[in-house]
Formats: sequence, structure tokens, C-alpha cells
Amino acid sequence: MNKVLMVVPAIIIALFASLFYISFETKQEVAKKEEILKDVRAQSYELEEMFKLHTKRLLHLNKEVNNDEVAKSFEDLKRAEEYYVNTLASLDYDRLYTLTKIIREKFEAIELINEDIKTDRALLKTAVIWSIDDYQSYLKNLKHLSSADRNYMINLFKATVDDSYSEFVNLNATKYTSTLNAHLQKIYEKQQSLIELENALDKNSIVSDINEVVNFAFEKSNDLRAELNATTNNLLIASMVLLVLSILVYIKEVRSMQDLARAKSELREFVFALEESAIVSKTDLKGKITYVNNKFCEVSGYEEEELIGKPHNIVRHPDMKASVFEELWDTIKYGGVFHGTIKNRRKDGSAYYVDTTIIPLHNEKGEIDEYLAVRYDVTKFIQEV
Amino acid sequence: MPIPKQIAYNKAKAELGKKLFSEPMLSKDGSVSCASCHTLPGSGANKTQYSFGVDGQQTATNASTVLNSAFNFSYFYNGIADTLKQQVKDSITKEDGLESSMDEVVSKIQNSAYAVEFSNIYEDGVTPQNVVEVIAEFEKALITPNSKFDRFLRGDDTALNAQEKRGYKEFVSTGCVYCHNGVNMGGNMYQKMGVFEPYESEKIASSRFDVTKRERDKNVYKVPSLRNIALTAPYFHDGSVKTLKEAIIKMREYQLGVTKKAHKSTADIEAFLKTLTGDTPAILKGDK
Repeated sequence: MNKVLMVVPAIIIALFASLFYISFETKQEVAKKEEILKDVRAQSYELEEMFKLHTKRLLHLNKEVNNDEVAKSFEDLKRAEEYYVNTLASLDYDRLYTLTKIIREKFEAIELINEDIKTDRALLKTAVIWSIDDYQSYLKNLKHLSSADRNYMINLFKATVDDSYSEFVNLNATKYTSTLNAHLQKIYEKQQSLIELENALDKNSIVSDINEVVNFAFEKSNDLRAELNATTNNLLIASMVLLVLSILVYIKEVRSMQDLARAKSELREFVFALEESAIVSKTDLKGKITYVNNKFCEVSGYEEEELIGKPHNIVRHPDMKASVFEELWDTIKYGGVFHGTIKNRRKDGSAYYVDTTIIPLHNEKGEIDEYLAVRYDVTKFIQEV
Repeated sequence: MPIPKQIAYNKAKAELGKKLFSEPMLSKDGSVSCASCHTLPGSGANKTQYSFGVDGQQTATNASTVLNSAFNFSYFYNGIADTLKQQVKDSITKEDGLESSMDEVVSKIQNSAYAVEFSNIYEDGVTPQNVVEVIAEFEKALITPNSKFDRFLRGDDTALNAQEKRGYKEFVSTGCVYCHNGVNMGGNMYQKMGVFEPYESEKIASSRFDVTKRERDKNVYKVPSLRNIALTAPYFHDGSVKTLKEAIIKMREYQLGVTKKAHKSTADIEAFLKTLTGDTPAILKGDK
């Protein structure tokens, strides 16, 4: 009985321990993922800063002569981008994979744009220097110029004032103005090219993609939090249900044990009443006595030790016909209850009568394993009759 | 920007790399080494118009100097290698280089006295990565500090004479500096060869176009460093120009669109460029 009382709390403790463990594990996992997402966000901000800074540097290249800085800054940016893309690719999210591909493609374009801007910017600068030089020598040689030269210069001047530079490209240069023409054309060409490159730089900006990564990382973090909360809640509810169930089972168990105890004590009282009032004995299947009460000894005149292990016919009176006992055995062997008045013999040889009830007792399998006989001494009544 | 007086490198690796640099075992047929085209100590380049590979095969480009190569932003005239290590690997394996395979090189080295030296440095001994690394480490050590110009940049006003100073001014005002700038005075960008007039070479060299496949990159090459330029004749990627003077005039004509016969400024620029010759790298000192 006490085993049950021990096992139930043990099960409850085990259940709680495992629930706690599961929720702990989930928390750990979520924390790890969150850590990575946090790192992605940090890397995103860093790369975005670097990218913006480098772009700014490229756009202001006209103010710089030394290209080492911009080359170094791009090298750093490229390394950071590679590391970033690898980090994103290592996370198992389709969305990030797509973004990684976009960033990679754009960055490849940026790599070329980066070099093109450097190349064109240098050419633009030198062309400007030499166009000024050309113009100065034109002024010096003003008086030697032909009318064609003058026309060229006038049209060039107009084109500059009207901001219709593109038209100037079609102007026919002459001997004196051919180098100026070549330099101005180069300036025009490189300016156009730089405008295109700067547009391309803008178009291939990875800033918006990085922002998407950040948003995605945020969303995922929130999802993870929600998931964790849901898991924790579910586990909590499950724990509560289990707890209540366990308590109910426990209460029921305690109740039934109390009932059992009460039943036992009642039974003990019944047995006591029976023992006090009746002659009681038990025999095994072969009819050997296994138990007698005091009353049995009192009435039969035998000591208990003389009776235990002996066949029950030790008290049989010769007057009793064998057929009575055959009937008795036939009844109880098949589970029936035998009633009858039997004449027995005491140790001293005198007779006594008992009103007898024999009940077969069953084991837990339902098989008969012993017989209980309850008798009342009715000698007095028989003699009176 | 002057060249730093020192550069951090791993001495043991660089010393081993130095030996391998002149080791013909690295080439396919054992006939040439890195040093065959990159003379050291010396210019780090060679005096012939074209560099040559296995079987004396000529390439289409002049050998670039290995001196100060650590400061370049990419390698080869077409810029196909991003890092010094990649450059070493390409030089060992490519057709215009030593035409070996890394596996071949590793197995040859493994059966040589170098194997012990590798295992003294590396736990994993001779591997493709380690072979490349020691040579790259040696090349990293090949810096030539303390040129007259660097001393001038560091504040020594007497380091340049009057003509050299005029040349420096001219170098800037002519516009050379817009492509030849930074520590290496070049080696940090690409530029088209023949901006104002198409530049014709005897042979077709691999240009940026071979890397990017873009029209605008045809005839575009890495701008070479002008460091130690007085030592590295012949000039240009095709090695077609023999003197510094001619190189200056041609650059001005093709790249800057300046055709008028350039007066005395050419001589001044030339004098200035000669101030870019630095000290022999520390790792080569005592060598002949």
C-alpha cells in the first residue's frame, strides 16, 4: 500500500523534472539562434556603415589624389562583405539565401564600378589640366588663328554657355584647336561615364538589402521569442494539468486506502464476533485441518496441536452415514455452500451436534484453495427433542 | 606617402621563401625559377623585353618588379590575382609562369632538403599552401625604403636637388600623379593604355578584358608602380620602351593627349623618377 504513496510523488517529480528540462533545452536553443541573429544585425550595421563610407569616398574622389586609401577601404569592404555573405549563407533561411545572392551580384557590379570610377576620375582630372593648357596656348596664339579656328572657339564658347556640351562634340576642330577638342571630348565623355557610374553605384547599393536582412533578423528574433513563450506556456499548462491529475489520483489512492482500512477493521470485528459465537475451522482441499478456533477445541475436547494437520474425520461420529459426507464434498468441491446438522464425536467419545455451514474459499485466480466451516453447537436442542 | 622603413614579416618563412624563389625545381622542366625573370638582388625584374617561361618561351609582357609588390592592390598586368599568395600560386602554375602544378611542386620539395626546413616551420610540413606562403612572405619582405624622394617626403628638404624638385612639381602638374600615386606611386588602380591614341603592341597581352569580359576593359592594365623605375628598364607592359625619357614622352602623348614636344620638363621628370630608387631590401643584404 505504501508503495503507491511513494510512487505517485516520484512520478510527479520525474514529470516536472523532464518538463523543466525540455523547456530549458528549448530556451538554450532559442538563445543560441537569437545570438546568431543578433550577430547578423551587428554585422549588417557595420557593413552598411562601411558601404556608405566607401561610396561617399568614391563620390568625392575628385578631391583626392592618393588612391591607396580608396583601394584599402574597398579591400576592407570586400572582406567584410565576404564574411557577411558567408554568415548569412550559413543560416538556414530561404529568405536570407535569396538576399545573399542579390547582395553578391550587386557587389560584383560594385567591384567593377569602383575601379571604373577611379579610372575615369583620373582621366577626367588630367583632361581638365590639359584642356586649360590648350586654352592658354590658344589665347597666346590668338593672332595666328584662322577664321575656322575662331569659329570653333566661338561655337565652343556658346556650347559652354548654353550648357549644350553634347553638341560641341560634333564641332570640327582645326589644327590649332585639335588637342583642345580632344581634351574637351575626353572631359565630356568621362563626365557622362561618371554620371552613369554614379547612377549604377546607386542602383547597386546594397543598403536596402542589408536593411531587409536586419528586418528579417528582427522578425525571426520575435518569432523565436513568441515560439519560446508558446512552448513555455504549453509546458506550464501541461504541468498544471498533470499536477491536478496527480493530486486527484493521489487523493483517490489515499481514500481507497482509508476505505480498505475501515473495511479491514470491520472485517476484524465480524471475525471476532464469529470466533466468539461459532465453532470455526479451515481445511485444505484434501480435508486436512489447517485452522481451528478456541470454541472448536472447547467443544471437541481436543487441543489445537492435536487437530492441526489431521484429517477432519478425527471428530466424525460412527453414526454418521458416509453418504452425508459424499453429498457434502460434492457440494463444496464445485463451489456450493453446504448446510446440515452433523453429529460429531468428542475426544472422550461422547457425541455432540453441530449445525454446520461449509463455504469454499477462493484464491485470487478464482480457484478453490481451502474450505471454511462454521458450526453452532445444537446438542442441547437435539437432546431436548 | 613614403615606403615604411620596415615591414612585419615572418623571418623563418621568408628565408625559406627566398631559397625557393631561385629554385628551378619549381618549374615544370626544372629550367627556370622566379629569379630567372625577377633578378635579385637588383631590379626584381629583368632586362629583356618579355619575360620568359619554360623552354625559353616568351610571354607577351615585360616582367614587373617584385620589389615593393606587397603594396600593390592586385597582381599581374590584368589584375587577375587579388593577393600576393594568389600571385605566387598563379606564377608557379600558369602557362606564362613556371607551368607546374602545385602537387608536382609539393612532391619535388618533399623529396628534397627543403622538406626538413618546412617541417621546422609548419606542423603539416610541405603543403601547397605552405609553399605559396613562404614565397609570398619573402616577396613581402622585398621593400626598398629610404629613397631620396622618401627622405624628402619625411621632411629632409635637401634630399632632392633643384632639378629633382622641379621634376616632382612637373610630375604633379602634368597629371602623372593621378594614376601614379600612393605608397607605390602606382599599383592601386587600372587604366587604359592609349587614352588619346590607340596604343599598338607587337604582341597581344592579356588585359583587364580577359578578367571582366567588358568592352571598356580592352587595353586596360594595372597602373604599374614607379618605385625603382630607374632600375627596371625596359618599360611599359610590353617592354617596348628602352629609356625612361622615351617612356615619359610616350605616356604624355598616349595617356594625356599632349603632343607638343616637351621641352626641358621631360628631363626634370626623369631626374625626379630617378629619386625613387630605394635601399636594397634588408633580406637581400649581403647577397651578390
